[in-house]
Amino acid sequence: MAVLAPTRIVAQGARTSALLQSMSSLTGAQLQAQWVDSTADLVNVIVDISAPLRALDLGEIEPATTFFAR
Amino acid sequence: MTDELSSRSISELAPLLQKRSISPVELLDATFRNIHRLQPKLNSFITITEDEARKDAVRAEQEIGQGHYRGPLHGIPISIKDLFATCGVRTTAGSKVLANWIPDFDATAVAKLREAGMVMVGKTNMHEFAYGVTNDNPFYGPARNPWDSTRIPGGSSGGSGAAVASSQCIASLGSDTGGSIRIPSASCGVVGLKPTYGRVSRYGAIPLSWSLDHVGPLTRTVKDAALFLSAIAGQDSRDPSSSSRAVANYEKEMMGEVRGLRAGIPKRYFFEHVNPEIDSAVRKAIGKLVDLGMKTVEIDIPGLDCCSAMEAHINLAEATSYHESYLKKQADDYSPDVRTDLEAGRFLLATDYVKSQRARTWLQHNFNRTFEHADVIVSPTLPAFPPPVGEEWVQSGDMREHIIDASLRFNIPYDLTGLPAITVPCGWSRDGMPIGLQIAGPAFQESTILKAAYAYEQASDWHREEPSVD
Repeated sequence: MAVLAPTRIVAQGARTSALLQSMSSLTGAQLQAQWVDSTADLVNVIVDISAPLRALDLGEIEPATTFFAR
Repeated sequence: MTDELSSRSISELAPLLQKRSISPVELLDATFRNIHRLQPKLNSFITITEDEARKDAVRAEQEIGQGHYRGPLHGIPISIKDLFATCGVRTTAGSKVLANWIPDFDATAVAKLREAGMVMVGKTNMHEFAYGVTNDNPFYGPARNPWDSTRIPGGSSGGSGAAVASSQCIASLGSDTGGSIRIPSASCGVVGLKPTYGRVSRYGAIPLSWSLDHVGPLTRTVKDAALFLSAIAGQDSRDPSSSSRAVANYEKEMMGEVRGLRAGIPKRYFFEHVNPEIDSAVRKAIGKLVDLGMKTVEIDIPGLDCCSAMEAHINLAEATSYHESYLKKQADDYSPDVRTDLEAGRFLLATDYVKSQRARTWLQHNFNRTFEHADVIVSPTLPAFPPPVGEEWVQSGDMREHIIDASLRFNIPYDLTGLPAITVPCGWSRDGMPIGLQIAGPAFQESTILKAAYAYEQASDWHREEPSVD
């Protein structure tokens, strides 16, 4: 269900693919070669669309430990 | 041709069943004539439970005959999205991973529907693990749109939307994480209601994203949505997010006066990059609400441009966490698109997840501020029409975008905030595809959005349209 617009980001693809492959000790799971490029494409898209979220200054607002509608 | 009896609404059928003017068995026979004719064309079901349904219908007939009428869902043929555990009936979640799972319990919503006397006709087709919007299922085949069977029905509850629209059931139980009730409802020309987070128990629904998942009905009319919600709403100790608030009398409260009700019309985001036919139909619908005595107020909600990122971080992280054990044992049983989403979930930052959850609190606050000036928020449900099966890009007015972006854009704010939202048909395109009007409201104010939607529905005839599937 993630936002997926694979043509938006291509330049960072190769660099991110190499990064993901090197991260198995951090994630505890080896990313098989056949999934590296598509996964890197998606991660790049999400990082790209995250700019406005990362720019938000949310002050003292806390996350709910369990989400409730209010 | 659709059997006339099975194309009626719950509110039309219930009094006939109660008075024994028709029998549940007769109604079921009519429904199964449609299922047998349309399943090869629309593929709305993963599992059809005809034998069990017949037993349920016979039991309902006996109970009603003995004076033990349970209420408006008694004897009504209902389908269940294959995401919900059904005791003794295979529950696949549209996946190969769970292809052979036969639960020994019912999801709470299913159990409540059984208590209400439903006749379960089958488990509907869906996007694999509800992780997508096309319902182009690689394991069970694509579900198809009854208004044009070359097109998708939307998803992830696509089989439910197609089945309700084509009279293969009277109503269906669906789930909504990023719009998965409202997207297929708008795409198939039926009513879809996503209740407030916590209003309906999630217990027994295979999770996609615990903090975004909602359970609700797809129906033929607004009144049916109210009747269905009344049957499944309420606190459940097995769902930690379940609310203890009292359940309203939706059917009664929705009949109230709409004159003076304030409809918030967003000046940004919800009307941007929208197909002109959809924009025109929704604006005409707003005009109809004004004719009914509602007022319009222009609103502007901060934070909407962060919704896509918030959804991505929360959904991917929670979904990958849930699927971790399946990925260790059955990774090759996932389709490539879902496998990619799940793999990507391992590489997102915890700080972005927490920031998204914090931003969610902020977004709730922003919506609550808006509801000081408006009673409901009105918008299109979708910016574009469903594409042909296999096509992943759509034209949303002046913008070409991926079907996932298009489908989620106007729906995800209400999953992130947990606010109730309903879609009702508000027109058809020149080439015969339905258009959805979305009405959202404050937390636990389902009665308010039902009231506005019901008033609109009664002032229009769109809900009487039926597809002709050839």
